[in-house]
Amino acid sequence: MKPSLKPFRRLVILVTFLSTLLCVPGLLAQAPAAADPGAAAESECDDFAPFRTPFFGDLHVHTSFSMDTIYFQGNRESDPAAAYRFAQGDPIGFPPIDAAGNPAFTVQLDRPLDFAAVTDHAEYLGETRICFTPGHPGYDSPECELLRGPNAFLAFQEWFSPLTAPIAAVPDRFDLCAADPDCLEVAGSVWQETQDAAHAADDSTSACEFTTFVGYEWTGSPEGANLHRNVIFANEEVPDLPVSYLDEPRPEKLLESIESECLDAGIGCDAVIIPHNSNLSLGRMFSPTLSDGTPFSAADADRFARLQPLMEIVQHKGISECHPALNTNDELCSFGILANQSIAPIPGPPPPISPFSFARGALAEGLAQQQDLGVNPFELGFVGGTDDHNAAAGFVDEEEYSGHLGALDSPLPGRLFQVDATPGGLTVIWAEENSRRSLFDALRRREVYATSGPRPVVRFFGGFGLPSAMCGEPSFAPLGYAHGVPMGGILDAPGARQAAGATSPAPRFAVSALQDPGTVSDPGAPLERMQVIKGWVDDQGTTHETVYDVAGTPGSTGSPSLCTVWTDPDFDADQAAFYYARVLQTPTPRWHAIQCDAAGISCEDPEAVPPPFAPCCDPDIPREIQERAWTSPIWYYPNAE
Amino acid sequence: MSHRPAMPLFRAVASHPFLHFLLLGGLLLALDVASGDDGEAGPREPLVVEADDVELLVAEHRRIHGREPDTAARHALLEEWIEEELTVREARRLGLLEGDLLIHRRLGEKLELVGASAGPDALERALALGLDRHDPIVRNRLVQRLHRRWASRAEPAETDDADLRELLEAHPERYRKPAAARVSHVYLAPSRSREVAEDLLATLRRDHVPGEDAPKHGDAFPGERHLPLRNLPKLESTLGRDVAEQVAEAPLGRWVGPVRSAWGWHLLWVHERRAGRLPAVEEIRTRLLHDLRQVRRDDAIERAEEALRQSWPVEMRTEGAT
Repeated sequence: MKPSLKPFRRLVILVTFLSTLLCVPGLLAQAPAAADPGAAAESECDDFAPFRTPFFGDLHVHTSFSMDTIYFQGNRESDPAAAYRFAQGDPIGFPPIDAAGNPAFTVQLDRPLDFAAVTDHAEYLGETRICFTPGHPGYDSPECELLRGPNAFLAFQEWFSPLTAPIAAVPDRFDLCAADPDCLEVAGSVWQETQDAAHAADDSTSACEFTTFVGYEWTGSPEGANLHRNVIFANEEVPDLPVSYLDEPRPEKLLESIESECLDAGIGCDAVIIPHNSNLSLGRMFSPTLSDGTPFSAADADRFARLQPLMEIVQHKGISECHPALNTNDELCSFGILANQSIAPIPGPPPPISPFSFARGALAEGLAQQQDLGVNPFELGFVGGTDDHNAAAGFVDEEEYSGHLGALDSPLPGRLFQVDATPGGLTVIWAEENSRRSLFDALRRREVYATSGPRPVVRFFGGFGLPSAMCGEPSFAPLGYAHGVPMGGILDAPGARQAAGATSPAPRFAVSALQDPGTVSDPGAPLERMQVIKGWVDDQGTTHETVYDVAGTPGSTGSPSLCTVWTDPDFDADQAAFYYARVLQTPTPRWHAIQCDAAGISCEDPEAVPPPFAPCCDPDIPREIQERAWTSPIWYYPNAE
Repeated sequence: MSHRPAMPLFRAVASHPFLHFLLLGGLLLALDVASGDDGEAGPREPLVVEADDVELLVAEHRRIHGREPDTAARHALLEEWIEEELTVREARRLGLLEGDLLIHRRLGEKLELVGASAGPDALERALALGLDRHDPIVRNRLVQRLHRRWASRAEPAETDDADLRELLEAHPERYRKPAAARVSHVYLAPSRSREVAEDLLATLRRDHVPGEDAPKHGDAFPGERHLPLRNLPKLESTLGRDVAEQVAEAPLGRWVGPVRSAWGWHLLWVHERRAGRLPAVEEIRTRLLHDLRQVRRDDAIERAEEALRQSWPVEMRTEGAT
């Protein structure tokens, strides 16, 4: 076939698919927009798949532009451009950097990422601030006078520690740009350089090899509670300066600011705000309250739903799915749990573990809020990231894990002080093509899943009308889109879009997973089993959850692929619920076990273990782990339209 | 030199002819640096290099790399250290220490450690106590800031497409787009034997089954049987190297295989293949401009470093050390 007939050929294939699947012509109009042949004409990429392809990436990466990278004695050459080159397969140098500027060693991805976002801390990123912009309303404030004066040092001290001060104690407006005539020019350019690096690395040809997003991290840690969030922009339209914790310490105001400066600014700007490390938030990340304790109004819930459709469920500083102390029936919740509950030391004994620190509790609370307010503020899809501070985007390999904190945790004994930390995970996006528009649309609709590092290919569809024999059909995904919703979606009302002969009073969920193929030198591990986790709220407002094993066998040697269609046996049409799939690999060695063994550490005689290596023998840290994927949930609401 | 990006690209390109017209700007900056005339900035006190300094470098090299440096390496270590030390001193001379939040924070923390944090002249006391000396965080920060200042002051040169094309053609391996192919495949479960797969291949060929009919044959598979025009590296990352190699070489419009992926057997039909190519300047202009700007900035920093080295007095008192 001649290349000029390619669009026609695509149309033929699509029509063939759709007509073999759909008995009722009217259903054609309800197929997902991307399956509409017309959508093909808008694509930017040669590789355009109407039923979507999984793209793997990391949306949480720090470089030398982050204030703490210098503190960690990271490699100051590792700027955003270096991070994007690393993501595409180039090597990067790791600390300690010797006096000659030579890294101790270099690392490299064995498989490039499809996309990445550098998210350096906004605090001090652009040191241009109000106090050094003459004419700005805050220019003449006492805080600014102090900062421009001879006692500037005192001022810095006074409110730098406010990064962990109570939110109410952070001064209203402050500036960090000292009495340096270059500061404005030099510092203001840092945010521009961040953008330039992202745009330069984004593949603008139709090969669409790699996509970047401009982003940053808002790093609020009031009283030791981690409230950190990453802001990911859809395209080139971004605010002049990133709103940092120091500009706006109240999370709800950060959301308002992004909403007014970006989403509603009429300039084609869009962004999502992705909270991470709720496990270290002392229950504050997903508490349905504003920062002063006021319960959410419907407008608040609406804003949270609109600005925060996702959460980072896995990263270096632990996993935030669930906790063994809360979700006592799920022994798999012990994976990736950190000993700490907060990001900074707090006075007194640790408080009880809060459900609002974990995805399950957040999702359940979201259902409860929806009952009360009519809006679910915590309709959260799941993404994964590394939070690497070495510009090593997507570097999740267990064996080669070299720490995330510069010279603090490299070489080996250094990172054993945080033996419970992990290399982090990845975000997988189901999108038609590897372009900013297509990937960002998928982030918005939550058709994404998180992995703890490996790259299994996971599909999750939900619908009352899904054909029960989907797994045996030639076109699994087209059926899922035609008769249900993908991960991240909201179930249609019963009866809508159902396949011929497919009637079910309870929702069906089709889950399919293909193991991570790995590489020739490092094959992936087979899949042990798949589960569906259901949470719901009864009319008393009490939350419940059940973990269902839906495919595979615990303790088996695993399988390269698993597929099943599962129907909720305990469905109650009057109760709102969420469902998400969790796919487990067979056990593989954990990084500390691999590296301690390689260092020749034996735990047979604990007395003989050198003190820096003592964590190698910590009995609370398992030597084997089951890497996994978590799909974004699918929600059911009674009386859905 | 202490500022060397990980990629050799910029080093190689820096010697390229098209950069020579930038030298004028770079020289002006270098003269600016060398003159040492920066308004209120202080004089340049000579840097005295002692034998102990060299021994510290050698010891660090030994600790990191686990071996002694040879003569050439020792010389390089010393030169690099002198260069960084001069950069730090120049940054301080220009007042970059007083103006920096991160350094202030670091000094503040250290003052607290020695129980001396209170009072309005805290910065002066921190400096008087020498809390900034040899501190890697302070040094890193100073070097970072001065490099940034040098880079931002480099004369912005005119850039035309010829410059961008020269950069592009100097490093095709960096900018080349990979080969791609559009493939349909029939899948068979891994439990099937190779014989079964080969039999199916023979059947497909004998019955002249077209590639479009791939979904009608073989076993159920959740993935797509018709793949779009896909970059071969991306294809390899899911279907594996054996499949990718077959796809790269197979004749078009025929069934080939069977070939294994991690997921099972595949019989392949390659509809079309596109060779790797070097994009035109217009297609990747943003990237080329960014890379060229990076080259110029690195060049500016390198020249400023050289000028500093030439103009700052250094006394070597390292008899027997180098």
